[in-house]
Amino acid sequence: MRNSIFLILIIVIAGFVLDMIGPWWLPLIACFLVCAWQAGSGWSGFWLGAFGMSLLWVGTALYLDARDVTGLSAKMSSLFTGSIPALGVLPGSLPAYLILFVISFLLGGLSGYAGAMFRKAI
Amino acid sequence: MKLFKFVLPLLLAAALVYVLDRSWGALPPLGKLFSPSHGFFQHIEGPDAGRSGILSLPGLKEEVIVHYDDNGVPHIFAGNDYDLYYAQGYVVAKDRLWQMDFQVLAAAGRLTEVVGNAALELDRYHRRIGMAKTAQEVTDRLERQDSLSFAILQAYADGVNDYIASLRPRDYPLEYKILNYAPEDWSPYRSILMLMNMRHDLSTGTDDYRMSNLIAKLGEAVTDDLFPFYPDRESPIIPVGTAWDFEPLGLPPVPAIKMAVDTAGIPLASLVETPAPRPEIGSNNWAVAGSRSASGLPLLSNDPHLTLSLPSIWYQMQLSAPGVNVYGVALPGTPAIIIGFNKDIAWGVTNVGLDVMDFYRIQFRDAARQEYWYDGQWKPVTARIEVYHQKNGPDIVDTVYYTHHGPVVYEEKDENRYRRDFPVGYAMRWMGNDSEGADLLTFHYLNRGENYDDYRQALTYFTSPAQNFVFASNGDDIAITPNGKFPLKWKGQGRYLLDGALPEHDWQGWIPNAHNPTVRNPARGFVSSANQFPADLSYPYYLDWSFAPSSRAIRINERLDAMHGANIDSLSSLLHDNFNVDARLVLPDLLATLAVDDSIAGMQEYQLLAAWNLVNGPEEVGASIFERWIPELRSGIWWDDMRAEGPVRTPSLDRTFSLLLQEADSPWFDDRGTDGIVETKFDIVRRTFLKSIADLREGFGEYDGGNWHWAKVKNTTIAHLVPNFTMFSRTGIVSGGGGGIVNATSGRHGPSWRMVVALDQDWPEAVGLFPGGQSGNPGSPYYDNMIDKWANGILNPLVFLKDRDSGDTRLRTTMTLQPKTK
Repeated sequence: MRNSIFLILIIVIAGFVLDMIGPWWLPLIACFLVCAWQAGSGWSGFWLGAFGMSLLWVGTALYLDARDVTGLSAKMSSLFTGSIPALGVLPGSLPAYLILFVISFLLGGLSGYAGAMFRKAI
Repeated sequence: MKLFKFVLPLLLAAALVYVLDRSWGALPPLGKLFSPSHGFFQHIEGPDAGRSGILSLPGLKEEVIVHYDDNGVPHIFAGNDYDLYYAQGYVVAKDRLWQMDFQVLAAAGRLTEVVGNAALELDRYHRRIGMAKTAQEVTDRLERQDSLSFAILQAYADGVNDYIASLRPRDYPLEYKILNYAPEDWSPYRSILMLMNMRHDLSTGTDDYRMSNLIAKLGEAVTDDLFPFYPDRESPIIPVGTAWDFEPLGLPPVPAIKMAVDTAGIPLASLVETPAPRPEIGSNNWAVAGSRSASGLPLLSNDPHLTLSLPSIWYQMQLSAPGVNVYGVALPGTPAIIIGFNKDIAWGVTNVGLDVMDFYRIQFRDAARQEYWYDGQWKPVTARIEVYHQKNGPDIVDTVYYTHHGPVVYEEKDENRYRRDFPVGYAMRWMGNDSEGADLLTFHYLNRGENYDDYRQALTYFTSPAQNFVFASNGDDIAITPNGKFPLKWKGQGRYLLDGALPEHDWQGWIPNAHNPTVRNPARGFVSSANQFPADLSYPYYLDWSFAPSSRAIRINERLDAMHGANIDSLSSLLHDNFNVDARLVLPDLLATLAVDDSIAGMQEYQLLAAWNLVNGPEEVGASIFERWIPELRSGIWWDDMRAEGPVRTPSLDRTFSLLLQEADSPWFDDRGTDGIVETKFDIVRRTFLKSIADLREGFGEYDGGNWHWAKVKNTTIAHLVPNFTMFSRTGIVSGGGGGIVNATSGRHGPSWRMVVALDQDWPEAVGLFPGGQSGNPGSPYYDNMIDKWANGILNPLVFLKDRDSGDTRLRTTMTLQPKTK
């Protein structure tokens, strides 16, 4: 458990650094490499990557949102609730955070899974 | 197998990244957009974000200091003109890059590249009227012949480009990320395209097609009676009785054939009622002489009315360099201050709106469209190929045929054409396609002007869109000049569609610039304009037969006439004046007409209207009823008589009011749609009143007090430039005013900048604001921070610094731009 938290933190920190220097998908490399290095199984790789990546995204988003005075994330939500009415049941910024969470969770998970399987393959 | 287990999830992840990295139809690239370090979260800003620090820029010659005040307004202090315009480009792009870029794409007919097929007809229209072609011709000519204009444009472009070069994709303005494209390099050509947008917005109104359909139906005598060459009620810009201090050229003779005789109107599939809209793109400006002011020196005010949008149309800034220190508003994408003031003078503009767009019927020799008939012989046509790159789809190739008049905008009947008021098979002659002149220099020199002579000299450079330039100086001069390059026309030329084969239908030359109407220090002690007739019929040239309704001008002039000891507050109060001159004129008669019917006189809505104070305040109910009723009444009187096989317009409000007040027994009141019944004025007044009440009830429910408030009914909305981005728009803005009101705030149009300047021997004082904010970023506190003040009639004191070190308590941050040492 402690090891998992440690690995997730590494993903978050490495992902954060990669996020600063490259395109938006670069932190997925961190998910892949950390899991290729330490993940026990495919599914543990998935969870490590998923939690690491979504923690990075949600954390960064919350940090940036803290200084918001214009309601930007809620406005961006409404760009999507118009075409996907089901999202409209969620108030304010939540649709944006939900989309952000799902994307980062899925991508992180897949990358972590691939990393873990890479370890097994070699 | 092991390898497969590894490769499969990897491919899946890569595929998902690929999918989320691009846009699919209207769906933005979700991965890029939602990544907090790359997408929209990057646009959440504090008030001082990016407005401080030291930046090294390759293009600069000397150090430039930019102080930002508490409204996000930059005050630029440069050491030379190149650096000044460079810094202006840099600083404006910092706040408005996407808007500039987007508006250029619109002008150039390239929107379909970034927003998709929905914009194709708009693009085709912009290309086919020649916007991009003319902008290129203007740019090429300036580069060859006008080193000053071109140097200014190039300095500005260098600044914008150095800003663009400093951006990583995650720094691109938010709209780029949603629409998934990247900014293009700036250039002088692009600034000229921005000016083409203004030419387009302010000088492409046309009634020629509608009027030709009308005269074909009604005959000339009736048409001239219903569409007179001068209104019954007018208060022209140049005061009546002003002497003309020039020897006029002879007016060209009116030819025997005044129009394309077979109107060849293309019948429309369905007759939709389209009375010409009440002109709402107009403006007010005025200047009050020292004799009428508290200080003994002039005051000046201006509020240009445009279709309101976000990001805001204007950008406030102070520009200072040796020889110039000016404050005012600039158009993003264009160098210099357009409306503003300096230590000695102030100036402003309203649209003249004279007829500078005419249509000529073209007879091609054959279907190949290589020659057309003109003056007894076949003349060659120039074909121009236009290619549209679609966002999703193959390129579309289109050919535009140019005659000596101009482009044939629409050759074939197409129900989807963007301008249904443009005739098919006609070439367009449009002042907007004139590539002479140097409009930019007018503003460059006004920015540096010190006195009346400088003002007159600056005006000589201006061509289009013609503007009423109002002026005041601390030398106690006031003046106003409807100015631009005016075509010399015979009386009525271009009132109807013209014949492209007849040389006498060509424009007959130009009115000399010195003969443009102007007045300096009139005896009445003020000058003003509100898009009304530039002058009465004593002016020896023909400009147009129709200008904006006179209601705003009448109100402005009667208030200025009564004004003594004027100060900033008195001019500000006039800017926000909500009095309804039309209602004062016509409502008593309409109420008396209705009152003979007890069932109506007993109605609550009738009593509300009768008790109305004639002010279009935000909470007035009478204004809601009146403003709904008048358009209803106008089409109720005229539409049955005007209906024709093609677009037509109804007579002006002024003519309608004259009919109501002076021709109560006129047969025009009869509704031709009813057999065997002859309607009277009472019938139409009653019917349209009940119709507008029914519409209000349907739209807003039974009257219960608050639900019919004028602000609710009017629902002033300021929309983002991309119509779908409603989340970045503001709606339900509570304000008074209306189309024919001095405070010309209607549903989608209104004062796009309000300014009052009090001149002074030492240092001027000024107030102003626009409905939006300095920043184009929806995540910035400066995106729309001025809208509430604007709606409530408040103006901000403007910080106008004497020099870079003079300081002000309202300055917040300083950004230093330094030349990058190589």
